[in-house]
Amino acid sequence: MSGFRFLHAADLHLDSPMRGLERYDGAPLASLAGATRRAFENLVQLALDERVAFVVIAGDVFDGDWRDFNTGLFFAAQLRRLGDAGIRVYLLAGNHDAAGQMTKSLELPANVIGFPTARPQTVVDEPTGAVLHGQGFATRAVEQDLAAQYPLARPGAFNIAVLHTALEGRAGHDPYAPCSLATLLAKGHQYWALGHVHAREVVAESPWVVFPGNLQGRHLRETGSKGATLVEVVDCAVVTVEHRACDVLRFALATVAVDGTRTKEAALDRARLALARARDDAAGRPLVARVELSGRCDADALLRRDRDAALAALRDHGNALGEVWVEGLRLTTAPHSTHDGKDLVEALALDDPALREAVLAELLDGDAATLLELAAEPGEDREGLLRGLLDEARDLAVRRLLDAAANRGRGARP
Amino acid sequence: MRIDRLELRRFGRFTDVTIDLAQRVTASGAEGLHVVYGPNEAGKSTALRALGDVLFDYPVRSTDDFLHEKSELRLGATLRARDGRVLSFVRRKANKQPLWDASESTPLAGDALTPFLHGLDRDEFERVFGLDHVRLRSAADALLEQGDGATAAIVGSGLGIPELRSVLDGLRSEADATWSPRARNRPVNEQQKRLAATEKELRELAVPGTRWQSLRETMRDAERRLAEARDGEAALVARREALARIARVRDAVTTRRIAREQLPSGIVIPPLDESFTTRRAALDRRLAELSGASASARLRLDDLREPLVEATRSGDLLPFAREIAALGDDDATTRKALADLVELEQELARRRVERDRLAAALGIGVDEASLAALRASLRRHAEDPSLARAVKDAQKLGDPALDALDREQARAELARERRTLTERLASRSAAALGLEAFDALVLPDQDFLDGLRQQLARCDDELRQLERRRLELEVAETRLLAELESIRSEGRLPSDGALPEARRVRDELWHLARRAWLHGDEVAGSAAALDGERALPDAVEHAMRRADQVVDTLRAEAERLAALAASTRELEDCRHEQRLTRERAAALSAERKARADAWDAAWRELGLVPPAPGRERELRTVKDEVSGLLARERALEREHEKSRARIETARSALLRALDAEPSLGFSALLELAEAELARVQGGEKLRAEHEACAGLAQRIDAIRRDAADFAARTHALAARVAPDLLERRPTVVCAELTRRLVEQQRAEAQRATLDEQLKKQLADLREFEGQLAAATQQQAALCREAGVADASLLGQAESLARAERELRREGPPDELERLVDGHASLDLAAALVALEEPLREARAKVESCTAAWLEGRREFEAVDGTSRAARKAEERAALRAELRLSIERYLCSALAARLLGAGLERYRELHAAPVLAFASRHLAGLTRGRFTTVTTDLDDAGRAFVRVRAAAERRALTAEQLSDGTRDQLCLALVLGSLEHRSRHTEAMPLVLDDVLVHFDDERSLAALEVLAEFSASTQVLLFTHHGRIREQAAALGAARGVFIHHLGT
Repeated sequence: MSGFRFLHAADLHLDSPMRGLERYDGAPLASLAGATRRAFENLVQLALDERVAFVVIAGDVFDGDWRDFNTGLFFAAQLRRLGDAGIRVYLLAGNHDAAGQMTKSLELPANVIGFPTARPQTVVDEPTGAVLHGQGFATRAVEQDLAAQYPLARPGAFNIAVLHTALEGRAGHDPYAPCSLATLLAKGHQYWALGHVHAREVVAESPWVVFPGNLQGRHLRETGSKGATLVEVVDCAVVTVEHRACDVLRFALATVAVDGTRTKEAALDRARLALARARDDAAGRPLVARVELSGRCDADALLRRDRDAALAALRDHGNALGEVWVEGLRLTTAPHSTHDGKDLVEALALDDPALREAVLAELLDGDAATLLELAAEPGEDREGLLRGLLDEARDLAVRRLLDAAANRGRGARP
Repeated sequence: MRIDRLELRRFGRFTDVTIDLAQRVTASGAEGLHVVYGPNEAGKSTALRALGDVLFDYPVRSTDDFLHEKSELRLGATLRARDGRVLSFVRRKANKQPLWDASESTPLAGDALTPFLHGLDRDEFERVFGLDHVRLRSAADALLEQGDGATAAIVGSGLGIPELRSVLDGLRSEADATWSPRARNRPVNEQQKRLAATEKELRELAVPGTRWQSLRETMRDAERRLAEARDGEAALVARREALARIARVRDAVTTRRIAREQLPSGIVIPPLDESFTTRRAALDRRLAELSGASASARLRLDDLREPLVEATRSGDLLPFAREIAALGDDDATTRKALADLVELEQELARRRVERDRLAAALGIGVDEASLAALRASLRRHAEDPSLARAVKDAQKLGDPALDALDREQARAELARERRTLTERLASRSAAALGLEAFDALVLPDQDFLDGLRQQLARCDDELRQLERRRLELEVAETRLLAELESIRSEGRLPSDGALPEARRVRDELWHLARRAWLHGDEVAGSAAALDGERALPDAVEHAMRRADQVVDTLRAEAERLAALAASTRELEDCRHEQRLTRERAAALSAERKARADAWDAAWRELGLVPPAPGRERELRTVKDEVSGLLARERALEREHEKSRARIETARSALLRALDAEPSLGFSALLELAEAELARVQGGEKLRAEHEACAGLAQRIDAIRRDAADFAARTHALAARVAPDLLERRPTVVCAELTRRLVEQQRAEAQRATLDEQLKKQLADLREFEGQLAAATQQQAALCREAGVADASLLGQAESLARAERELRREGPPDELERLVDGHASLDLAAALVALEEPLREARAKVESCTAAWLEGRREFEAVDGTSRAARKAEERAALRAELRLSIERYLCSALAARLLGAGLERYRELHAAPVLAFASRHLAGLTRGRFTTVTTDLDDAGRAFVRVRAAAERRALTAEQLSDGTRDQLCLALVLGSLEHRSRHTEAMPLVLDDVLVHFDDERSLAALEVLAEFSASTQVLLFTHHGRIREQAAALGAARGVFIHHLGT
């Protein structure tokens, strides 16, 4: 068998929008539009440029509750581009694909070979002789170990097992199709093409067990380079495994330590530097960044009081850097000052658990409960969100009281 | 903290005054109620300010530096903290090192007072601890507003409940401004609406897979239905086309058949193309037109020939046209000249009458000799203008007699003015002074006079002020002398040894008592030696009281002496100022006299009576009027001289012009000259009239000659060309000749025009006849082309050819003829009409099917993989992010408000109850048990407010329902309650009250003093008052109840 190359991608989540981005004047809005589509176009172009033999897509082409059939037609049109170049596509349904109607109605071109969902199937890619095994998701929540039913590797051939799974579990991902690495290794396949986990991860190298990560980051928990894995095979053995970026927009979390800074401007200068570095890391792509300032500093009170102005200053800087979207500013700073309102908190019992519980219960009894539902992302921990807000509220109350005390002190001077 | 001593070393009006506040109740250790008494002006307010200044520094612009320099201001105090620390210090007014030890030898650290003040600033001290009646009300109002009496600031923050409420309200407002369940324009509400709208749009844009399949099926069905509809339509169209063909050829078949029947048998008509018909029709039209044109041309020739003969008959005047025209011009000129002749003759007659009148006036005839003699006699004055000029100049001077009369009147007026001014001047001059001499005086400079007058006025003002001050000082001196007398008369100073003696007796008796109680010693003898009147215990007590009395008397005497010293100093100051006042008055009087003398001297040296200051301007006005009078007198005389000179000059000129007798007066000379001048002017006019008459006579002769010449020439021409006119007047002959000539010229022109038209008509006629012959030849050619011999058959041949041509377009003519014959019985029109409805229906069906198919295809093709829905989803995600942020802001503010509100409520619950309990106790004391309970309640808005309950009633009253006096008592009770509560947590500070009992009657003020005395068990109270009654009540309570009296300013 001579050598060949293939691309391994997963979690395209086509037409899934960018989430949690507050718009503002000067924000690079145009960069966001159709980012997942453009990333997929990049993948197709990469396959054409690299003249791969085939492309393996390990699930979650679509976003679960996304119903617009145009997305499917776009997907099919892109696959036809590959078909026109003689590139096959091995497609596995993930939990998101199983949930939607898209997959059922879509007529895919002849160069697409889909894996069944009832049982594992083995397919031979005739031009290369590669053997591919896979089983898609029949329903959204597949809780059994699909890998256990996968056939053993076919001797003398290059075996690729395609599976949508969270393995033993990955933070932030539902534990679908759970399985152990040992189960995978025991099957004897040369390459496990996994999907479902959005962060790229090479789980093992012998044999290769790879999560390529999703194709395009969509929010601030999906930071860094996103794309597909290009695999070169020679004589039934993996020669190289390379990550190739396909994303058109990048997310970054710029955590900035401002310890020791004396002024607000000095703290912001550090944040500006961090933004510039993140912009450089994005390699020319538009960047969405959240800035988090932490540490003890004299400017803590000023930063908190003028938080909006500080954010505006950073956004101006983002605009000046060019296509840097400063999503938000998080302050975890603390003051140097000893007068941090502790006595106020104690006098008013603001940290009293019973008081806090009573306040939460009172709020949730009212109309505000519906607001919480509106604000929460699907699957987000409501209680955690509310408790986080309560902590912020407590800090806000203390800050206002300290401000009032400071104003009173200023007003008392002759 | 308590204040043991307040020293007003140099402050305001005080110098080295000390208020000793160290007394306290020995037995209980109570801090004591210190009543500081001082009548009005005693410096009570100054002492209060001193209290604040010594603790918290002087204000930048102190008002207490009017006696002592700012840098010399000194206040001192001794403070005692609860932990026993004592600090005696002096405060200077200085930026650096304001604090010094009591001896002012060692500077103290800037924060030396901190352990005593516990972070208290002046504002809070005055707000909480330094209360006058107004501030007591406002402090209590704040407490009433809070409703809970929790005056204590939240620990360490310095924030009061109102400020906390303000923060709370701010947070609630923020939350409310972000979202409200029923609001429409809040950010969250608006974003919710926008999100809902976006989601609706997204639902409309998103195409589910089932929908796409459905669209595809719909499009295919429409395609099928469209094909079926089109087939049905095509069948109907074919049927209608067949019937229409029959209808189209039926007429041609009939025409062909008729034409064939009308043509001679055997004739074969060749196929004629479509141009044949056109050509034949054009030729027919051409032939008709040419025939008509020829006939018309002949008629017009006949019409022209007759007038032409008439026009060429006569023309005998035409050769004389120029002569007749010249005669016409002369006729007009001659008639005008004859018309002017009458006027000229009238003018000549009128002028001759005037000439004769002028000659008669001069006494001469109108013959040339008389006229020449006249000219010679008048030549001198006619050629020399000097007589006319002399007469004109003399006439300009007017009547010299009238001028002299006017001058006399002016002189009399000036004399009256002179007398008036002389009288006015007489009262202002020291000696008799003429107007001319007065006018020559130079009055003193006005600036100099103004300066003197102002100085005098200033002196007078200042002297008046000094007099007022002198009277005030006399009153003050009297008052001070009375006060000193009063102070001196109060003195009852114990002897120097009285205090040591009293103490010795007290100590020895106490020693004896201790020995008796502790050791059982017999001490009665020793005791009797010391106090023979009392038993030992009573003697001890009496000795202690006696020692205290001596001390108190000494202290009171010391204060009295201090007051005496102060009044003495004040008296000395008063007398010193009196001396200064007198000296200043003397100096000013001297200065005033010097200024007054200078004023008088300035006038007297001019011989004038000095006017009062300010009246000197009247004298200056008189002087201006005198100067004016003298100037006018001089001007009048100058004018008189000038008039006389002008008359003499005119008279000389008249004498020269007339060569008259030199003795003649001006008026006689002027009369003579005017007569001579009139004669000269009459001679000139006569000459002019005579010349005008001669000119007019010449013009009249010339006109008559020209008229005779014109008549002769007219007659000669008439004799040659119109003898019939010889008997007529020349003007008539001339007019008639001109008329006849014009007629002959018009007839000649008409003849020429007719001749021209005749030639043209002849040419046209020849042209028409030629063209008609050519058209006839073309018609013969058409007959040959159609195969007929006669042009009358051309129509039938042409019909046959056209019918066959039409039939051939639809098919072979014979076949078509058979087809028509086969459907001869069919009503083609009805059949076609019957087909219309099915055909319309079929077409409508095709159209609707096409529309449905297009719509289906459009909808199907619209699902083309577009990202519109995805874009909308992105917009929705952005809106959700925006909404989340707003909701988080709302929840954060709302939670902060609720958290703070709950904390505040808990704080209030914890602190309100004790404060209210304390306030209730104080209110019961203040109202002698009438009101016993202070409680709180909640209003509709959930805010607490205060109620008080009377002992005898179940009903509770709000603060607004109380009388002013009771409300004041409630205020005091609340303030005392809150301070008492505060003192449980933090070190008590002295409570300084400034006449807060001012509105209490005697009973209430006594009750208040008792409550304050009780309150002073834990907190030092300083009550400043100027009411003697309160001092008496306080004194009655006495030191045993912890009440101490201090006098200020005595």
